[in-house]
Amino acid sequence: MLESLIQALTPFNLLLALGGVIAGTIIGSLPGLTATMAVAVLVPITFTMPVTSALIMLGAIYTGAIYGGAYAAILLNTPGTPSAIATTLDGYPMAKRGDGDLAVTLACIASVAGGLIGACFLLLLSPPLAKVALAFGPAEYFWLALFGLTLIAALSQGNLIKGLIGGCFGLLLACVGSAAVSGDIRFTFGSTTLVGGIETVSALIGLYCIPVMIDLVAVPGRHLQVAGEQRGFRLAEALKISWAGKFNLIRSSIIGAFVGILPGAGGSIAGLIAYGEARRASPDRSRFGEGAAEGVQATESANNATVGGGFIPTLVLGIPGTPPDAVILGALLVHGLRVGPDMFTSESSIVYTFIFGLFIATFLMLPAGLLVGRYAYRFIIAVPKGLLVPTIAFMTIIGSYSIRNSVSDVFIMIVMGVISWVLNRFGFSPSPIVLGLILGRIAEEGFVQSWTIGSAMGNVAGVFFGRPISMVIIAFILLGMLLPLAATWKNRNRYQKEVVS
Amino acid sequence: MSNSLEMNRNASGTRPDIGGMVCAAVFILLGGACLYQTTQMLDPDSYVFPRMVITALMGLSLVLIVTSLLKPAAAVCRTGKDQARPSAWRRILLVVSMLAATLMMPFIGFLLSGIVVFITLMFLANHDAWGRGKSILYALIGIAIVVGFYGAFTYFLQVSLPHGAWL
Repeated sequence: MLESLIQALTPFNLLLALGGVIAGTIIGSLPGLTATMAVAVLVPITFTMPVTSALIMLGAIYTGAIYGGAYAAILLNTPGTPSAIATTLDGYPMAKRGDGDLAVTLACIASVAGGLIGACFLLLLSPPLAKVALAFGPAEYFWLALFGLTLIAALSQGNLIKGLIGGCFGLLLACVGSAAVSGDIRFTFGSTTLVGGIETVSALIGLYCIPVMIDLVAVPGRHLQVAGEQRGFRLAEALKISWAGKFNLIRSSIIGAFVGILPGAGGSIAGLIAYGEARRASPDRSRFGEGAAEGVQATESANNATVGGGFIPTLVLGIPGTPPDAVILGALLVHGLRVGPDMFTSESSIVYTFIFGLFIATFLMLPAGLLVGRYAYRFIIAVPKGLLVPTIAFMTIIGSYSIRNSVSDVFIMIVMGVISWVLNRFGFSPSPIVLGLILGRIAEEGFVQSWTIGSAMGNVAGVFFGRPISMVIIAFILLGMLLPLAATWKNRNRYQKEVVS
Repeated sequence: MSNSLEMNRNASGTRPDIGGMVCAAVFILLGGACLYQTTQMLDPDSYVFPRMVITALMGLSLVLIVTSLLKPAAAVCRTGKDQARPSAWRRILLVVSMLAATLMMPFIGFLLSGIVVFITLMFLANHDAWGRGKSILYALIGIAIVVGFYGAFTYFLQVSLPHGAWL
């Protein structure tokens, strides 16, 4: 292992890690350019490199891109990558009240903490955790998606029924286009624009970003509150807050690492689940959604922890945990590496050099991320609205288009944005819609496959309820639903007693 | 965004949530149309899950309408200090110009439609006075941004952007 560490620390590998983190951070910060795209675009550069250096660079790009998504989420209320969806919930309110610099620094520290914990999982627990991932069948994915949907209560901003309606609307949007299992074309109403379905990234750019612009053009004045004096990185303040929220960071990172292990789940779901848990565990839930630092910490640590977690099934089983892992897996095959359970023994020097490289890249994200974040913050607050709005608009158009090279996705993005703005005015938050949209396909696939298997076996209930992992997730769902109800009931009782007294 | 706007009880606190009820009614209509579409699907794999979702959507929308009528005190409206004197025509023009640019894209190309939408939005978003120098500077910056992104996406990221008649 020491040899692998020394190999990871060569000047060339350090340079690649630093360059990868910076490139990933910049690409990830642009709305519409996902971590997958960042890795895919830069993969060809690595084909001429030694395999360990190539892996280190790809890991650094991936981890940087996941962190970079936080900038746009905090400063523009637009997730740079889908992993940063939940960062908008408290990051943007922080920026609005003049704490954007603090939010960016907090996001950087949380990302580093999450990345390190995810890499620890990869280093120490790869083989046993890969077995857990294999034990997840369609029913478990269905229940996991339902567990994600219980977060609607946390994202509803005061009106649960409207949140639930938004969640159902998102689930319905996820059904548009070809059916998950049968392939039938559904709910297009004869429009060719909708045949390809609602592309998630385009939709979330529209849902979050277009309403920001609609409101920005309508009134004069600055985009964000700015403090009178220069406050630097606010590193000491951020470190103090991070230390106070260390349990939140650890819990969220563990959630992120576990969700990353599950193929197809990804950073967006990890961030949302971690956000929900942070809110549930907080003594003062009312601050969430209003600019709570814990919200930013939870989402950013969780999404960066998926990087290490996602590499576990990728390296041990050859099953990519997240979409960028699929691209990296392809690059590994180009380099002639055979991925599988034997890799940790037969190619141990390469694997451990890569894991140490991931640790180094995550450490380098602290200075690089703080520096890039600071300039991003200064840039956003300094740019006049006359240039900021058209630049964001242009980026949303080019970003939505480039995902599938489709003009239809740009149309859908704009229309979703207008719908989001209208709904938002009447108390429907966009976050439950996004949650439904993301989880819809996973939920439907899990449901239909489990139903089919259960019907074939003549035991539908057994498939859905008869497996231990399903039961654990169902227990979490019940806890997630009952605990807030119990808390509400307790608060109501306390209030009535206070009124009586 | 509207996220930033505060949710306040309206002044009287007794008016029903008309906006919420209208949205709920639209969701019921949408659900009805989608439910009708599911009757034309033959494979249960295609319609079982959507029907569950649609039923929940319509049911919850109905609950929202009923509760809004029964408990008008719970009505909410969105007001905010930063929403003082918002310009409706700027909002509409923003959406229209983005849609128009997207429509034009396959015909006049991405580059030209990008420049057109950038300059249009530049004028829409700026509430301060325009001078000749400022106009030229902003326009040049806008063109540089559009051309820069066009170049980066076309040549570096290898994204095939629409060419149209003039790029």
